[in-house]
Amino acid sequence: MEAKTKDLWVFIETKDDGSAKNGGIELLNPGRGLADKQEGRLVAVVIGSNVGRAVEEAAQQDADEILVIDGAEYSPYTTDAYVDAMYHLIEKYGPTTLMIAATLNGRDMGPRLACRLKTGLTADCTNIDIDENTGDIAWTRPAFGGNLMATILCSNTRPQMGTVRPGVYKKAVAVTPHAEIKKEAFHVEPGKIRTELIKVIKNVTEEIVNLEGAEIIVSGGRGVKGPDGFELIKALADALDGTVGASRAAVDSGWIGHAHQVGQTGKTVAPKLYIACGISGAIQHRAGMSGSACIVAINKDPKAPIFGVAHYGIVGDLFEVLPILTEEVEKLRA
Amino acid sequence: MDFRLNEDQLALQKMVREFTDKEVRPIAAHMDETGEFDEELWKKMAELGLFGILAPEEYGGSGLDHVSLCVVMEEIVRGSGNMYNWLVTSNGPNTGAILLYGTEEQKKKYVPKTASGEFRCAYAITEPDNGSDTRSMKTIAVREGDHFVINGTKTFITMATLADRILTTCKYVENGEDKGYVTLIVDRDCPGLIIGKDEHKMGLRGTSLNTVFYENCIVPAENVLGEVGKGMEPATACLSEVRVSCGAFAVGLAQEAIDLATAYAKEREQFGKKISQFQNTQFVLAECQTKVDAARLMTWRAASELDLGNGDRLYGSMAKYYSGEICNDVVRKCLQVFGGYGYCTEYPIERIYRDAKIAEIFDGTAEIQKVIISKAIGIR
Amino acid sequence: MNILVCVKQVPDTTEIKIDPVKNTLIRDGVPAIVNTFDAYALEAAARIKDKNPNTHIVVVSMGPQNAINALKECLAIAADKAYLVSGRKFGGSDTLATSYILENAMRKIEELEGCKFDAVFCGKQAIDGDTAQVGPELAEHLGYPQITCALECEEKDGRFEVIKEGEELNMLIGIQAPCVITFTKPGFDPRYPSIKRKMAANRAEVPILDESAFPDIDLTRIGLSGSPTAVKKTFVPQQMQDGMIIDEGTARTSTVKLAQILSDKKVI
Repeated sequence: MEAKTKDLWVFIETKDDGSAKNGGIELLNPGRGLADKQEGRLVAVVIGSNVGRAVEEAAQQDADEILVIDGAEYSPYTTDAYVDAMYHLIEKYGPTTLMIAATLNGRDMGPRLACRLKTGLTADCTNIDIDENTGDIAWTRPAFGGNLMATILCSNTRPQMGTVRPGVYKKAVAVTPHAEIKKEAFHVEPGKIRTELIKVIKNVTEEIVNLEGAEIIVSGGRGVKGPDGFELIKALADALDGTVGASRAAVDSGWIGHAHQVGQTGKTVAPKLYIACGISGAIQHRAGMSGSACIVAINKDPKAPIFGVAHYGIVGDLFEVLPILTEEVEKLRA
Repeated sequence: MDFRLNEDQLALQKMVREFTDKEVRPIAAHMDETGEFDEELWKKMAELGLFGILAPEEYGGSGLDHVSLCVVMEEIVRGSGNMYNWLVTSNGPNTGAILLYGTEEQKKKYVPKTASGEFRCAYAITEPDNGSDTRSMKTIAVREGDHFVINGTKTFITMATLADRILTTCKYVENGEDKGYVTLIVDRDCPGLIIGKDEHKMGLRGTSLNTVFYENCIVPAENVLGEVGKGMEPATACLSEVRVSCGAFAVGLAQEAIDLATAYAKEREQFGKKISQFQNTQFVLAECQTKVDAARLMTWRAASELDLGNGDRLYGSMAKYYSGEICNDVVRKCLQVFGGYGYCTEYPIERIYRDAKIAEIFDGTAEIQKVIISKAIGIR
Repeated sequence: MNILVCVKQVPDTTEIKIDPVKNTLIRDGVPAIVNTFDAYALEAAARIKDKNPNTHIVVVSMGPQNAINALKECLAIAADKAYLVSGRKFGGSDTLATSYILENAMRKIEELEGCKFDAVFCGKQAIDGDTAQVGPELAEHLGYPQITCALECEEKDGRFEVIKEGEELNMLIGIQAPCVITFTKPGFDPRYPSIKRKMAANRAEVPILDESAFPDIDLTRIGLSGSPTAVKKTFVPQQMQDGMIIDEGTARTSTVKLAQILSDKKVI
């Protein structure tokens, strides 16, 4: 479809309690700069049920306008309801750009919506800019498990769409809200929602590990040598109030559950601090954690690839280093 | 004359190699240390079809040829020598002899479940006082109405602890008279079958080697395999087949040893260079590889003769004797490349060295093979 | 029950190396494999077939001629029939164009097989492209409901119950058939091919569907002209230039220094 405006839209995904998930809120930060460069407005799109809080959070992020669709049928998330709602809004208002946080739901909704709009979507971006030649958005993303970066343009169709990896951009400092809030009445009939949530599965055996939201992650790999070694990892993680992560090698060896796996076939994380212990740093693992703000590597092998992405490294035996580090952390935090 | 593996065999080789790397290698050391039976691994191998390679499709097997079995055997023992035992107890006499000598009911009852891995099997010929001298065995079976009673002791029976049945060859005595031999399929739940101790061994520690006691062991008469009195026939029917597998076992271990030594030599530095750069290392490994290639071709040739329907024992015997001998020579030399590290259990070459010795002994010693070969060449 | 499984043959990205001089990927000699996530999709279909032996599993792949290898591997593992979609005009397609071609392919295969698919299973994403877009886009073209990131799937009275991965908790979701389900890594390993199936797969005929199989396809929607996204440039991610190895002589002194640095930077 043709763009009717030069506006840049950011989709704000909401939680069951009506507050906003971080992924979308973070995108309003780069969104502001890009909207200005594109000479359009920054519009936040909030969809969910009882989303007052999310609207407030978006307003504090310097949005010019907030479109709100609020209805019981939007909680929990379903593909049909959200794609229908977004399509309706985009058809109505014709933005030039749409950014969506690459959460599980974002990556579920984005491609379907792009297809319905017959436009291009670039997924899981780690950088967004304006292309000097065309003025289009330049979406940069990893491919080949992180071995290669590609910059993609969507020059001939609108809106240009992208999903952006959560944690890559940080939430901006709050400003005095000045957004115009527009409530859109759009409802999806129950018959049009073709999936139903039967139940949420309370994990009895498998633990809940929230890696994606973690601020500090201490991760163990092959060098940990076994489940006992993970006790050391856990001790340091506990001392830092962090979460335990693992490489695929450790998970495949059965030393720790898959819920802890970081990497291409595990979770993608972007914590403040990522400590990789006994992890060689295969590309697929790096693909999952290279967005971390500060990376520390502890490995016996000075040639381990992990040192190529670490900000700080110690070439040493993690069985020696970790207890000392845990002790020092406890001292510093006391 | 085309010495290459065909497309199917190459695909099979790749498949088993990948499986071995992913599933067998990682557990090999643990298996050697603990002797624990890995049920998960057995199931995975069963699903692949590794216990029914030779069995015909109509009996649930893959219906492949002997060369294919060689290829599979060589690949999988590179992960762990114990896999020889796993494969031969199912693919050997427990399938082959039953197919050749069994009644239709026996074939239907035993072969499919052996091929699918549901049954685990063993075969018992050797006794404490009768190794190479099989014919003088002392375990005796007598018929009593609708069943047989077995008394005696068998020894060095691979995997008896896990076996659902043990194919047992005994002397057959009727009315006090020696009337030849009888081979019986002894199901695990037969009364009087007692599985004795597991030998503490040099190698192949991942599988048990048991003494088995038959104390008035009662076996239903329908479990006779072949003819009563002619029990040596099923017992020896699969010898060539098994010897080809022994050859493949030896070749696999030797090849693995060479590959490990080569990789190590390229990493290890002494006197300012990698030890792979010393001509001695190069020449030793070149000689080893040549011997292994010769042994491999001999096993393929022997397998091929079986596929062509040639029941002659000569080729199987030569393949086994030669492979066993060069294997031990090669493995010893490869261990030497590792120096002191080769003596440490952390390095797989140490285990391969211990596993390799049996290649000159089991399923017919090198000496017995030489008896067969001398006969075949007319010197005996 | 009829299930179509979409698979892609991809380079094994765990084996890919970077040419340090040219700063490009070295693709030669990298083994081609069935995309890891697609193997999970095939396993899910195989499990449904374990329970209901009347299930007919067809695999389809859009790719170059040698993608037949991946398709044969799928036949060896669990699939009953395979089709390759390959043609010069399909080259250069982005996800939108690819999913459009796959929609056409599916309709054609339904015609050739004389069946209607109750479900299309795909891997969540391909490990080379990593976009995770083709599954949902195919669902949109087909007009079918979708579930992405499925861990397990059961068939129940003509519809499916799917355990879907959530950020914190997993969910059990019901979906009507026909539908599209994309799969992520489950708690179990996909099955190996069996020797028998492998031998049969080697001999199997894999029909190739090229442009001529789709006389009514809109040529403006395939290949480069059907691709709204275009790659402007590719580059190899930069190594950390200023990473610091801390070496104060002993493990203790180095670690203490590390803790101090992290504390000063207010990271801990």
